[in-house]
Formats: sequence, structure tokens, C-alpha cells
Amino acid sequence: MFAPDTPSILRPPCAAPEKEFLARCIHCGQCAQVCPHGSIVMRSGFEHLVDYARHTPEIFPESKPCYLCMKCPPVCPSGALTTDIMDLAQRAAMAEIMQDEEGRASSKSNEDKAKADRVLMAKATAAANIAAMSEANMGQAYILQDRCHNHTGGIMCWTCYDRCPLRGKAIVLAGGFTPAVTEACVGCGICEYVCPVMASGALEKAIFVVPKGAPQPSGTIDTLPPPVLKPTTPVSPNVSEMGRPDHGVHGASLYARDYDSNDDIMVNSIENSMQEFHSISSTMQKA
Amino acid sequence: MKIPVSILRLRPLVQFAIFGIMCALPWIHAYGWPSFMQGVTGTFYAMHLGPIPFADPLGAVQVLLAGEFAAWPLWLGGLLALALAFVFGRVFCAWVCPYGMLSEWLWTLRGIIIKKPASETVPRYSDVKRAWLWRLVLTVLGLAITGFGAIPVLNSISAPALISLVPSMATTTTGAAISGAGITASGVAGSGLTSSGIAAAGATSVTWAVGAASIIMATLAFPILLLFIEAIIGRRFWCAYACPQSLLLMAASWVGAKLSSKLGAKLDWAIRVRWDTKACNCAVTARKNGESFIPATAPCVQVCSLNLQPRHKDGPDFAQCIQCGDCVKACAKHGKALVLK
Repeated sequence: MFAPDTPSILRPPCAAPEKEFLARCIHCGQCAQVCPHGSIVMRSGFEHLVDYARHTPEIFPESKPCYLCMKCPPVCPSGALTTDIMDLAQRAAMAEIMQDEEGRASSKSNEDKAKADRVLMAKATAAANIAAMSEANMGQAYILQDRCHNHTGGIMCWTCYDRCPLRGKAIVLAGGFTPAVTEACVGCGICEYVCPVMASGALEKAIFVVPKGAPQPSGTIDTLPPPVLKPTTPVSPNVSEMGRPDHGVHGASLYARDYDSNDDIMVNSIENSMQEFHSISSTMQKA
Repeated sequence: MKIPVSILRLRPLVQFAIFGIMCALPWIHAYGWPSFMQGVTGTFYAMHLGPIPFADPLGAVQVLLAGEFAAWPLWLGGLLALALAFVFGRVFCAWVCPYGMLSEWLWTLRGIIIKKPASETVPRYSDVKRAWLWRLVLTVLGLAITGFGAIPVLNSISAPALISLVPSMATTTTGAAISGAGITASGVAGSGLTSSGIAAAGATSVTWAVGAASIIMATLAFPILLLFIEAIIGRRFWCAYACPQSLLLMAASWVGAKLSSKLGAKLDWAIRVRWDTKACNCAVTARKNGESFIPATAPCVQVCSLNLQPRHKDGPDFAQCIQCGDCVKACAKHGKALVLK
């Protein structure tokens, strides 16, 4: 009843549709507490003293985007952030990778088999993480035609494409050159954060996120249909760099927690799979 | 099971320790240390103590009235909180609630300033026995608005939870500042100084500080307003007359006490303040000294922050009593007629 028909607030990943979210969110702030990047802000301020969305979580991608670590949905006690779809996607992705036993079948010795198993496990973990990230369903990024370098100044800029955690899926290179957003975009806002076009006054960045359910803003380029990918595509070495686009630049290491062995493999921290990948590749190089 | 008075003396310490942990929690999460605390998340709306959820039972009810069925941690957390109240009474209000703690501090401070103990200056707001009816009215009204607006509105006037939510806000704004990125952006966007969330170019750290302060103050405004009112009207006025969050706890406490006394001494598991008529000697002492004894001036009544009369057959009114044990502490110097058991 108090909720507006057009959502205007970017919610954390895996949020219920806006009206249901507002009915479910009890303002407990656990999503903001577990966010290792400080991306989730509990909406407050004197401007919002009497506000339908007071004390609900919000993400401002321009100041701090969501890095899709997917730590917040499991802590939500009321179901405003849900894990059902995320869990299903993770299981499906892991099952798909685990079926792929080519490497294991071809290996001869037990040692090779063990190594192949670990590679398989790491692949499955990474695939599960990416599957979870793909279900974040926060919003949709749009490119403003009269702001984007690729469309205005003849400057080739791939910043959003480079930093997209679902690169090649959510942002693709249309015609091989121009970044374009597809419907696979989950609206994490990293593209908006890294876009070099400065926002000032009423002008926005060249690429920005609108919350899910909101209409396409005027002046933006239409989204492409999601690309059809082979199941193993997200686990390519290129993709393993993603998910921490600003590592070491600002804050990521400060906020990164110790991902020790207690972390459940399904808790989908990209860092986990990264470490796993690195350790495996280094051992394989030694061997 | 008799609770010794020495444990009751620890109450301010327990309150302060829990308050401190709640304040430190967002920083504990931001820095990932100490690791054993990482499983503890939340505020007094809902929290996780490791795998165990605890929640304000009114939260699940509000979500239900708003048209959704809350996920199981909220229901289980609410039920655990009710179970606690069932056995121990409204211990949350006396031992945990940061708002109650601040109200008590305020009155201690007031007593120091005007050089009179709180007990002598408490305005005797009357009709305490019916106070819970006001809480019921406010809660029903809030639940009606919740059902109509499909938003849990009573959570916006939850004094303890608002206080516990503030550190989370502080850490997200200061966190952005520490990280060096979006110092200005987060302060400006987060505080709502600009509604579009666009960082004003050239905004300084002063802007950020103002933004962070405005966030915190906007959330604290309500509890601070209540404390101002209480400084005039009396200790724990909100707790006695308005707090909707305590209504379900009160019901559980009342049912627990009644059931416990019905089932008899064998199954007397409810821990409550109880009064032994024979040991109560304040009236006797007064008569011996030739003074007239007025029940309202008894030490136990004087210290009660809710202005209750503990000298009933079953102890103070279970619906209102928050099991703080202050009357038991006071009585320990007299006849030891009041015990928490």
C-alpha cells in the first residue's frame, strides 16, 4: 500500500520483488553487517524520517557497488533476501561440472586421479559461485547513448566490459568492439562504479543500474538477449579474475575477511575459489 | 532455583556488556576479528548467535499481517525469545534492552544533578496496573497500519532496535571513508543530502562527517526524544505505557507465571520475583519506631523503575514486572522477603 509501483531503490542481491521485500524486511541490518565491502547502507537520514523504505538496505553503486559475494542472502531471517533460487542454481552448476569426468577418466595413476578430482572440485566451486552471482537479480544496467565514450567521442573504452563480474555474459562486445549490456545483467553496479565518465549535477554516468522492475530510462541503448554459453564457459581462466575488480586498489583487502576452512563450499565466496584455483595451478606447475 | 542477590548486582554490568558488544559488532564484522564473533550478527530486530536465531516476536507477526509468511529463522527466533520470557519473565527489558539501560542511566544522572536519588524524584504516574492496556492499544493500532500499508511500521518505533541499528550505519559510512573510495560519495549519497545519490564534485570530508552524523542522528532521533520525555515524566515510561515490542513478551511471561503456579510446586519452573508475607518486616519496624507505614514508601516500591508494588502474594504484577531484581536487592537489606526464584 505504501510501496510505490515503480521501484527506485537498488536492493541487495536475491531480494524479493519490491512490494514483497518491503513487507518482509524487518530492518535488522544483518545484510549490512555481513557485507565485507560495506556496500549495503541502511537507508536513513532526515530526508527519510517519514519514508516507506526507512531503515531498509540500499546499495549506491556509484559510491560502493555490490561485488556479488552473496554473503547477505543467507543471513536474512525474514526471507526478504532469498536463497532458494541461488541454491538451486549452485547445485545445478556443480552437478553439471561434476558430471564432466573427462579429465578423471583419462588419467592413469591414482595421483593423477586425485589431482583431476581437485581440479574438478575447484571448477565446480567456481561454477557454483558464478551460478549464484548470475541469480542476484538486483537490477539492470543501461548504457546512455549520449554519454558513453564508445558512442560519442570515438574513444574505445572497455572499462565496464573489463570489470563486469559476468563478463561475456552480462556485458558483451557487440560487433566485437562496443560494450553492450545483455539481459543476463544482474545489476551489481560495478560498471557504474568504474565508468570513467564523470557524473555531475543532473548528468549521470554513461552506464548505470536501475532497480529490477523499473522501466528502461530514456536515451539508453536497448539490452541484447543473453548470450548462449556452454556450461563450462564461466570457468575459463579469464573469468577467474572477476569478482574482485578493485582488489588492492581501495578497501577490498581491508574488508576481506579470513576465508578459512570453516567456510562452507556453498557459501560461494569468489575468494575461496580464487585461492583454490591459485593453489591448484601452482601445485600443477610444480608437478 | 533461587537466584542469589550477588548475580542481581551484576545487572548494570550485563546491560553495559551487551550494549558494548552490539556497538562493536559491525566493526567486528568489518575487520573479521575476533573470528569466534563472526557468527554473531544482527540487531534487536533479529539476530543470529551462531546458528541460533533470536528475534523480536512482533517482527514475524508484522510480516504475517503485511501479507507474507516470514522465513523460519524469524519465527524460530521469535519463539525462542518468547520461550525465554515464558521461563524467566521479561528479562530482556531489564537485562538486555539498551533503551531501558539509557533510561536508568538518565535517571541516575538526574539524581546526581539534583542531588536526590531517583526513587525520591520519580513522579508517581498512576494506574500502573493498567499500563499494559496502553501498550496493547498502541500495538493493535500499529499492527492495523502494518496490515493496511504492508510495511512493518512498529519496527520503526522499536526503541532498543533503533539504538542497536545505529552502529551498522556508522560502520558502512565510516567504512567507505576508511577504504578511501567514495569518501564523499558515500557520505553524500548515504545521508540523503542529495536524493539521486550523485556525489557532489569537490565535496570534502566535512561533508562526509555531516552526512554520517545526519544518518546516525536521524535514526537516534526517536530514542533521544523518548529519553527527553522520560527525563520529565519518569523512568521507563515508554516501557510501561508504550513499548509494543514488550507486549508479546509480557503475554508469554504472564502465561508462564500462571501456568507455573497452577501446576504447583513440583513443576514450578518459572523464575519470578516472589514475596514472603511473614518475612516482610518494613511495617513492623516502622510500627516499632512509632512511624506510620505507607506501602508506597517501602524500599522495594521506591526502587522499582516501573513503580510497581512487589508486595503481593505472588510477587509483583507479572504482566508489568521486568525481573530486574532491584526490589530484591533493596529487600536484602531489610527482611529478605522478596526473592527471585
